[in-house]
Amino acid sequence: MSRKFLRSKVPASFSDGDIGLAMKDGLREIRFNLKRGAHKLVEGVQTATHRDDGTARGRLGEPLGLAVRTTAQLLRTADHAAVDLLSSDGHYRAMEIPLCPSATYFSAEHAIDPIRLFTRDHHWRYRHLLSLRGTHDLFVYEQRIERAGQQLRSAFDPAKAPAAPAEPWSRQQLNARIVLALQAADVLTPAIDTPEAGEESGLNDHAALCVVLAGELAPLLSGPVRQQTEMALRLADEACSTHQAAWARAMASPTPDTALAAWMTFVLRYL
Amino acid sequence: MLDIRTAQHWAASPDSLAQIRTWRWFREAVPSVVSDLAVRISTAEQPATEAVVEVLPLGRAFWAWVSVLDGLRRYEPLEPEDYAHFASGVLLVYLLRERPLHWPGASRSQEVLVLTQTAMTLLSAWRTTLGASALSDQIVEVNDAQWSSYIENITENADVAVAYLDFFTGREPRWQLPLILTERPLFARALAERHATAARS
Repeated sequence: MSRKFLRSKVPASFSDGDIGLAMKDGLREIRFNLKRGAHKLVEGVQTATHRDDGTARGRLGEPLGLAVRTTAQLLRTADHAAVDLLSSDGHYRAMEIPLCPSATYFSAEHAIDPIRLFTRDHHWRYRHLLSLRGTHDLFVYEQRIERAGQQLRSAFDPAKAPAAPAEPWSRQQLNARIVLALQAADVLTPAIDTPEAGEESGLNDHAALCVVLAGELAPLLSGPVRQQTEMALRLADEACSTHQAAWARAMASPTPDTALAAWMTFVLRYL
Repeated sequence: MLDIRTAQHWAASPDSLAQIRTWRWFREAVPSVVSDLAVRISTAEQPATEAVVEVLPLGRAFWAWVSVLDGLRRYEPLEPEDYAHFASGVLLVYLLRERPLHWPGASRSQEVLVLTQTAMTLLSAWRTTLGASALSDQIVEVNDAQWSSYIENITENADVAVAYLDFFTGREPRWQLPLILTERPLFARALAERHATAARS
């Protein structure tokens, strides 16, 4: 835990919104690494003290364990205080806001601060997905989601993007572009000192696809919002895990947006 | 050879023909019937409580199955009943390939029996939805030699499970190219008639 906690950097050209999200990501990253560190410390001490062999280390086991548990408790208290500072998006955290198709944030009708809403919504989709999978060693960068959204939005603006599409994209083409933008943004990063980091970081492509698919699925499901959200993320996760070869081929094709749109159309027909 | 009560339950859903081809339905329904069928053939020495259906191989089987059906959707209205037999056979092929049933100590024959009965249960529900006669009346009694030959052949090439399922359910099996729908006698005939009609008009 002696290494630096914060790896996210504020880009050279930034806006007020960037600073806000960079601070949020920074605070979250500190919390995330502290929590993971505390968890590992408790685990490590417990393992060591179970080997009570009558030596000095063994006799020290009980007070050492108590000290570590107290430290972990203090960290948790500090953590809860930090959550209060960051909890303006509590409704997303509590899964109280129904998931919507990701494409709706990029439609002409969605006029009220769509990128901010897209960013919050997708940040929490990622976090809920990781939690459902039981993956705790990956950090979700909210600012990178915002940047992906901004880049995608500018692709629709003829003033900013002369090569803007002549014909409007279909819903699945747009979804495919969102997936590719999130994939390129490397939204997930492994926790510091995580041995299995390399393995887990492969989830970037998978998670980008899942969070967008879940937005298409949730409105088709019944039940309370929380249940819909969990089920949509679970179904998307299962589909992406069990049909991985097909979407990986689509992403690697020379026209990934078209191939991915076709794959999503197919999968949604049978989900 | 099949779970009639489950098949009736599946067929009772108002949208069952579309529903049985969705992962949402499949991931719940198929493990449940597989477990029930395993219980039926379990013994005191080999209880079915040990039998588990694993999601990953089940999902791989499902997506491979619907990928095949997706490319053949336009043929379904030509011979809906024969299409149901073919589709159930293709499902059996992928269940046999992916082997989602994890049942420690069970023989290959027991595992294949459960998966075959699962495909037949789905076929029975599909036929009921179409208003076809009960599948239980069509099922052929299989002797030990035929069953052994089935196990041997599907171990070599799972594709022939389509032909075997036709054989078990009283249809004319097509041993060559069993995964080609348009080579099935009823479909070949229907397509020839369609071409002849088109040529006349």
